Amino acid sequence: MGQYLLRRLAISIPVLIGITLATYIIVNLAPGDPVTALISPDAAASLGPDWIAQQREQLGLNKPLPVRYVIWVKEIARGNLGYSAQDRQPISKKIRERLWPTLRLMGTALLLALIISIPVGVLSALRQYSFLDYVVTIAGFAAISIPSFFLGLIAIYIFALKLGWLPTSGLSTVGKPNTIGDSLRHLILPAFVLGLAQAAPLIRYVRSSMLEVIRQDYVNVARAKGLRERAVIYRHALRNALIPLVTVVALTLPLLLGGTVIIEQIFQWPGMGTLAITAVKARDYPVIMAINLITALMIVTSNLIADILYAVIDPRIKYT
Amino acid sequence: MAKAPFSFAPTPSGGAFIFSDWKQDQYLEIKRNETYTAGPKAKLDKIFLKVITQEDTGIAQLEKGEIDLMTVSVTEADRLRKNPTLTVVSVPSPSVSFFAFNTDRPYLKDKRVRQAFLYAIDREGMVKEILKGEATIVNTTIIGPDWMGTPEGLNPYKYDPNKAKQLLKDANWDSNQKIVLPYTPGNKINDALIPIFQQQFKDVGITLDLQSMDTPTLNNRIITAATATQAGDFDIDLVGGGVFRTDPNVSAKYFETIAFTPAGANYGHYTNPKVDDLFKQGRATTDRAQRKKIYTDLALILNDEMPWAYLWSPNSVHVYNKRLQGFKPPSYATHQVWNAEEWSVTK
Repeated sequence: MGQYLLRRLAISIPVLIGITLATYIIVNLAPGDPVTALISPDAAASLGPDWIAQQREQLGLNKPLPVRYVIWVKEIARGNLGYSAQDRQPISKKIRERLWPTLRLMGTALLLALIISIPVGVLSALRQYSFLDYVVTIAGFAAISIPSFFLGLIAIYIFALKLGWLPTSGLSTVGKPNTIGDSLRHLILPAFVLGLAQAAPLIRYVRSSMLEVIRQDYVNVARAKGLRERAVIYRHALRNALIPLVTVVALTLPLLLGGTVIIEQIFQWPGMGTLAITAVKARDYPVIMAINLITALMIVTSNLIADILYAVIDPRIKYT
Repeated sequence: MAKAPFSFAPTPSGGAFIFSDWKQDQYLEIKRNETYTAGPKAKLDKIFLKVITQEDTGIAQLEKGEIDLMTVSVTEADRLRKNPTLTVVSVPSPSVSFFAFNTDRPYLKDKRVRQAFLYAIDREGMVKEILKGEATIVNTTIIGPDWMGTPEGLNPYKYDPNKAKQLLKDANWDSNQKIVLPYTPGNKINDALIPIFQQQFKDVGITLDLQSMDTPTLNNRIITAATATQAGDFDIDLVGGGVFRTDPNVSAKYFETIAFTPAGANYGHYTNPKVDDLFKQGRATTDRAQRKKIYTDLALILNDEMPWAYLWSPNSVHVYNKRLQGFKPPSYATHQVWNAEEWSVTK
């Protein structure tokens, strides 16, 4: 196992270099650059080509692409993410400010998704083709099919505007002291909308994996031993049925730090998704690269975690 | 300099308000400048300038009373007028929406072709249906200030598809010629207008080739790709903006030969010695009567030559909560806080 881990970690270094090199080339190939992206055509025309050239030089954009990539890698190796091309703020600060809001939103949503999907998926499997099963299936497909921006806007309209129970958006009430209660009230709507959207596919996974497991011989054996149905389901069937879920959940882990563009935009949640989309729109290469690097790291790590967890929960799987 | 902490939390202020706090992607907080002596002190002790990433969410906040003031799309004005807690003010903006023609293209060099574009579209219908009446049709960019006004005697280019067809025929228009319109989707009004343009152009025999792209790509095509001798990579460009009501000479940077993009905002590289000369004369004198005459001549030439297909000047729609007192619409939509020291709120 130890050797396996070492090998996996060693492989991830060239993988990361490959990812960053590819994304560096791709973001730089996109037409436009941080200077022209930030100003309107009107302003660009008034300021003139000399001003644009000067700005480009200030940002180091006049150096050839390979040189810029090497400089970037050197700085990253020293732990320096660099400065944003948009506002010259240190990227580490920008990311630090957004990490906690993102984690809070994505974590709550994932938790909600699990709390909803496991019991509902199990029930739906145990009562296959019942009325409940059909309702869950239809609701699940609806939740997958309805775009999240639409669900978000509907939720704002109903719960914030018409019923007035919850605030429409943001992290907290502007101009009021920051309290936990206030933060939670702001968290409810976006977390539920995201949680529901994430729960829908998870329900399908739990249901089908449960259906497969309860037909296995060892479940019949457990019943034959005279175990109560509850014990059969929870102790024997469910634990095994959840193994595939581990992979699915592990693959959503990068989102915990990566955030989500659409929901963040609708609920004006200042998270990583918003940071990413504004960076792309502004061709803010250093910020795009920093976010790419973090996401790539998260994906590599969560894949590794998934593999390790697999070996831990399923004794049939061994890594050598 | 740009990286200094000072740039993110400035301490001095020459106005009635002073920087207080900035939460990125959330809000900017400004507070009353207690040491301000150049005028009356601000009535409000602080103002939050909130970041609105989505107009729909912003409007929901406005309706719920979470924010007090916002500028909205003209399409939202009618609905918000029905809300008893809100006041809607719609004022003319200094901007003009237009199609800039790339006059470097041989097939767009004939002014009859350019005129046909404008005859082909029903601007009145579009203003009524899409912009909900919140715009004024213009046939020039020389629309102000008050002493200048809008010159008389301009061709109004009333919707006349038959005339457009006739002009195209006279100019030997090749109906196989595709006209490339690069644009950035996501603007509610443009997204609604563009299919109508496409249809109405098609009705007279002009095929629009719509190419959607993001803003940096579009800027690249229009500006960076342009050289001193060649305009950017487009046939027509749908633009809205500018501050045309301040002085008639504002138009110079769009039509003079020395303003060829990338050096200026003459995107389509329109060139006319007579226009250049008149702009020079207009700048050479301070006599208003004389200037008015010069710019009227210019407006007439540019109205006939049609380097741009002028569309309209849209209104700026400001919506505010009735509890906000003292708000006066600014002459330029984004300068909403220009008289913020006079604002107050009722409980």
